[in-house]
Amino acid sequence: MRPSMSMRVPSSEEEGSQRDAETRWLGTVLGLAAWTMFFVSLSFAVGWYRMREPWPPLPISTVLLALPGLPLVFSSAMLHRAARVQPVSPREARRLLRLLGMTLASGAVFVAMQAAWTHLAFWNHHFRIPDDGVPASAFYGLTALHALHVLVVLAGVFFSTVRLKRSAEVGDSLRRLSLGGYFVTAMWLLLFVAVYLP
Amino acid sequence: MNLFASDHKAVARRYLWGGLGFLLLGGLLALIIRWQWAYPGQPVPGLAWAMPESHGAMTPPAYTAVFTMHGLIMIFFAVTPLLFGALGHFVLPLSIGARGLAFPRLSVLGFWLYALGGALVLGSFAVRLGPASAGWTSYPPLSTSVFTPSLGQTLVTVAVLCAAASSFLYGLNFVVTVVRCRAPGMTWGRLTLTVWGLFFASVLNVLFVPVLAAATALLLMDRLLGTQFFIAGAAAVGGGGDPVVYQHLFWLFGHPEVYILILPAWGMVGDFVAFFSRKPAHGYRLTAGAMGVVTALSGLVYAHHLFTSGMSPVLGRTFMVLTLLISLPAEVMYLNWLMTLWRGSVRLTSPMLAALGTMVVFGLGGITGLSLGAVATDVPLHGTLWVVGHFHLTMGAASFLAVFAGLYFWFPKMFGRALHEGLAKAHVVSSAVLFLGVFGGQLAAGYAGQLRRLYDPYQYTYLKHLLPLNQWTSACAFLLGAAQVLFIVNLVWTLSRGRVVGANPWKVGTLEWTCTPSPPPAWNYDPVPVVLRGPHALSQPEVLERLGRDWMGQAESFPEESETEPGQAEGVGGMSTSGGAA
Amino acid sequence: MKALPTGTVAKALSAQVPEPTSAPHAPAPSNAGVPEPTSTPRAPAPSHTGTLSLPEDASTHGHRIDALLAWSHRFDAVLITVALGWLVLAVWRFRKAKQAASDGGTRRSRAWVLGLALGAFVVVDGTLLLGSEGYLRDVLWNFSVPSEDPRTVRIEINAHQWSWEARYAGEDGRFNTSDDVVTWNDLRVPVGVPVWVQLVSTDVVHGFSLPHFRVKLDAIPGRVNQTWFQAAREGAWEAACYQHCGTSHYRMRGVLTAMSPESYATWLREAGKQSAQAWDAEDVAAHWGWEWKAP
Repeated sequence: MRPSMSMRVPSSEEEGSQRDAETRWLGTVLGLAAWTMFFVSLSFAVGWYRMREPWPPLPISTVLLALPGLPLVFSSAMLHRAARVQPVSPREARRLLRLLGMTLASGAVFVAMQAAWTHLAFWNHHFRIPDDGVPASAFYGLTALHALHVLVVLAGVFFSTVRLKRSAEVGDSLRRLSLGGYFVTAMWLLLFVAVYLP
Repeated sequence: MNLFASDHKAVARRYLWGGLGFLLLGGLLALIIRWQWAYPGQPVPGLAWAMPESHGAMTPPAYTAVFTMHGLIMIFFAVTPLLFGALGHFVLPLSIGARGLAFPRLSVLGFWLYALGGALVLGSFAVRLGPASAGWTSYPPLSTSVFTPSLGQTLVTVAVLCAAASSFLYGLNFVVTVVRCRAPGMTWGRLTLTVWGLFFASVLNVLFVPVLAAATALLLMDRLLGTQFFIAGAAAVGGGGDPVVYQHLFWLFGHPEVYILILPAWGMVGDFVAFFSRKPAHGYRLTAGAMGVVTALSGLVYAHHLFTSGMSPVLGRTFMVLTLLISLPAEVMYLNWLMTLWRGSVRLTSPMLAALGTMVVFGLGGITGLSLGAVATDVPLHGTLWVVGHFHLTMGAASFLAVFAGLYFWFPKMFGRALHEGLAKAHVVSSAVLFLGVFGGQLAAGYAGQLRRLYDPYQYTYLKHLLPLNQWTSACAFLLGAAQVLFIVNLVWTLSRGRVVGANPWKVGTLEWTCTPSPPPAWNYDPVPVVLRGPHALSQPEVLERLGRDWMGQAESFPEESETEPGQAEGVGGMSTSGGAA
Repeated sequence: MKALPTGTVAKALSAQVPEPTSAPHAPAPSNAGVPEPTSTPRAPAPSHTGTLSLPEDASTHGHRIDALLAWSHRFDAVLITVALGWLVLAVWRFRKAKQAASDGGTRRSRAWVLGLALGAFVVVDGTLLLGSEGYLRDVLWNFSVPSEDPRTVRIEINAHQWSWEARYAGEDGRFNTSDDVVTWNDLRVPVGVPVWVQLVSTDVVHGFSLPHFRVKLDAIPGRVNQTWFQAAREGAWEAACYQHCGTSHYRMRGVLTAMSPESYATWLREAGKQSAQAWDAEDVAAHWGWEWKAP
C-alpha cells in the first residue's frame, strides 16, 4: 500500500485512478498524523494540570473506564479486516457486510459505554462541572471530543456500507477509514493515560 | 459563476474576492484605531450612523471591539486567505505542472468553511454587545463568558475554528499536491521558491493549526459548557484551571502563524528578484534550505511571547537562545536576495517594486525584532507599540506588499488582462513608503513607552508628549488608506477594459507562463509538460546565442533537439547548481 | 479621593485615578490624613525626554537594559544601512544592465553569504544574549539580592479590573495582620532599597509595569508572580497595565512614589496605626494577603 513516488504520467484511466487512490491514502495518513497534534495539545493541557496538583481518582473505577476500550479495539479490528476483503463473490460481499455491521455495532457500544459512564459519574456520583474543577472538565470535555472523532469515523463507515449496499466500489474508502479506526483507538489510549488513570 | 466549482483557479478567485473584502474591512478598522490615537474621543467621520449615542465617537467598549476585530480579521480572514486561498490555490498547482490540486472537493469544503467563518464574523457586528473584544489573542479568563458574556465573542470564536479548519484543509491539500502531483521532471530542486514557501508554510499549517483548534475548543467549552480549563481567581469554582495553559497553546500556534504568513512572501520575493534581475536566484538551495530551517525552528521559539508571564528561568533562557537562533537562516536568505540583485539586469516592474518594498519593510521589521528576542531588552518593550510596529512591518506590511507583488505578477494569468503598470507602481511605492511612515511612527512611540491597546494613551502623563507623533503616524495611515484607491480603480478598470496580454507577458520561464495560455483552461496543461530545468533559467549564454532571448521555458527544449531527455537537460547553462537555473 | 494628598498637581491628577470604590470590598484608604513629606512630589511631572528615547530611568539597575538597547540600536542601524544601502546600490547600478550574470552564485559567493550571515549573527545576537544573560543573572532573576538585604520592602499587589491594590506588611513585618497597610493605585517605596513585589490577580490577566523602572510582569489569576527593583531617586512615576484586561484597561493607572527612607518609615507607621484601628476581623474579603512566599 505504500504510495509510489514515480513521476510517470498515468497512461490509462485505471492507472490514474490507482494513483489517485494512493494520493488519497497519503493525504489521509498525513492528515491524521498532523491531527494528532490536536490530541497532543489536549493531553499537554491535562498533563499541565496534573503536574500542578495530584489528580483525584475519577468516580468511575479504572477498570470500568478501560472497558470501552474492548469494543473500540474490536471495532477497529473489524474495520481493519473489512478493508482487506475483496468482495468479488457474493459470499465475500456478505462477509464484508457482516464485518462492517460488527464495526458499526461495536463502535456504537463504545460510544454508549462512554455515554453511560459519564452519565453515571454525573448523576450517581455527583461529579459535576464546574463544581469539581479541572478534573471534571477534562473528564467530560475530552471524552466528548474523542467520542466526536469516533462518531465521524463511524459515520464514514455507515455511508460506505450504504454505498456498498447499492453495489458501489468502497474498498478505497474503507482502507482510509480503517486508518481513522487506528487513529481513534490510539487517541483513546492517549486519553486513557492522560485523563482516566488516577 | 459556479460557487461550488472545484477548479483550483475558481476557488482561488473566490478566496481573492473574500480576502480583498476582509482586507478592506480590517483596514478601515485600523484607521478607526489610528483616529482614536490622533483625536481621542472625538467623533470618527462617517461613523455617526453606527454609534448614534456618541455621534460616532469611539467609546471604550467599542474601541476594544475595534482593535480585537482588526487583528482577527486581518490574520484569519484577510492575509492568510489572500496568500494561501487566492495566490496559493492559483499558483501552486500551475507552478508544479499539476492538473489541479490533489483533493479538489476538499478545497471547495475549505472555502465554504472560510466563508461560514467570515459570515459569522460579519454577523457578530450586528448582535447585542457587539463582536469579540478580548483582543485577537483571546486570553482567558477575559475571553470567557464570565468577563465577556457577549454572543459576539462566541460567534467569533467559532469563526476562528472555521478559519482554522479551512487552513488545515488547504495546508494538507498543498502538502499532498506538492508531494504527489508534480509534473514529470519537476524535481524538488526545480520548484519555484514560491512553491517552497507555500509548501513549508503548509507544513506549519497542518502541524500547528490543530493546536489552535485544541486551545479554541477548550476555550469554547469554558464559554458554553461551564468547564474550568482556563478560569482561575475569584471566578473559579472547584479549584479552577490555569490561564497560562491557554497562553502556551495559543503561542505554540501563534508564533508559527507569523511564519505561515511570511514564508509564501519570502518565496515570492526570492522568485521575483531573480525574474526581474534576469538572472538565476543566488544560492537557490541555500535559500530553500534557510526557509526549511526557519520552518523547523518556528515551533520552538514561541515562548518569547511569554517572557513577562513569570515563567521559569530555565524556559526563559532556552527560548531566548532559540529565538535568537532563528535570525541566522533569515539573514542567509536576505543576503541571497541581495546577491541576486547584484550583477543582474534589474527591471523595476510593479511586482519587482512590490518585492523590493517587501524586502525593505521586512528587513526593518526583522531587525527591530532582535531586541524583543532577548529577555532583558524585551522587558521595556514588551506590550508597547514597538512590538506592534515590529510585527506589523513583518507580517503586516511585508505580507501585504508580497500579496500585491503576487497579484500584480499573476493577475494576467488569472484574468488574461494585465493591470495598468503605472497605477500599480504608484500603488506599491506609495504603500511601501507610507507603511514605513505608519509603522516607523509606531516603533518610535513604542520605544518612548506607549502601550498598545490603550483607548486613551494620554491618560498617562509620561505619554502626553507623544500626541503630535501619533497624529503624524495617523496622517500616514490615512494616506495609506487613500492610496489603496489606486488599486481599486486599477482593478475595476482592468477587469472591464484592461490590456489583453499573451501567455507570457513577463518573459519568464516557469510552467504557468510558458506551457499554457492566459487564463489557463480547466485542466491547466494539455499535455502535461515534461520539465527539463529549474525555474530561473535566465540570461543563460547558450539560450541567448541560439534563441536570441534571455529566458527559456522550464519545459522548453532547443528546436533541433526536441527529443531531449530530462537527464541531459542538466547541461543548459553549464551548471547543475546554478540557483534554480538547472 | 482621600487617598490623594492636597496639592495642585495632585488635584488635577486625582480626576484620572479610577475610583477605588469600584471594588466591592475596598477598605478605607488607610493613609488618609497622614501628613505628606513636602519633599515628595505626588504626581509625575511630564517627561521632558525626547520623543525618540526610552522613558526616563529612575531605577538603580535599569541603565544596564538601556545600555544594551542602545547597543542593539547601533547594530540595527548598521544592519539596516548595509542591507538597504546594498539594495539601493544594486538597483541603481544594475538597472537595465545590458548583461546579467548567468550563474546562481559561485562557491565563493555562497561562502561569503554564509560567512557574512554568521558574522552578523555572532556579533549582534551574541551581544544581546550575553548582555541579557548578565542582567538576568545579576538582577531580574536574582532574588538573592532582595532576600538577603535586611532593608528590603515587600509589597503584595492584587490586580483588579481596573486598579492596583497594594498591601504592605506594616511594622510587624507579617502580611494579613491588623497593621497591614492597603492602598489603591498608590505605591510608595523608599529610595535605595530593594523593593520585592509579589503579584496576583483577582479576575483576568493584567500586566504590571513601571516603565521608569524597567519593570514588567503579568498578574495572572491563580498564581503568584514576583519581581524586584530599586528606586534610584525620589519622585513620582506612573504604573500602567500592559495586558488588555477589558473595557477600562486604559484607566488602570497607578502612581509610584519613591520617598526618602525616613519619610517612608513615618508614612508606614502612621498608616499602619490607622488601619489597626479600622481592622475588622469579620471582613474576610479584605484579608486577601498571603504568607510571603520565599523564592
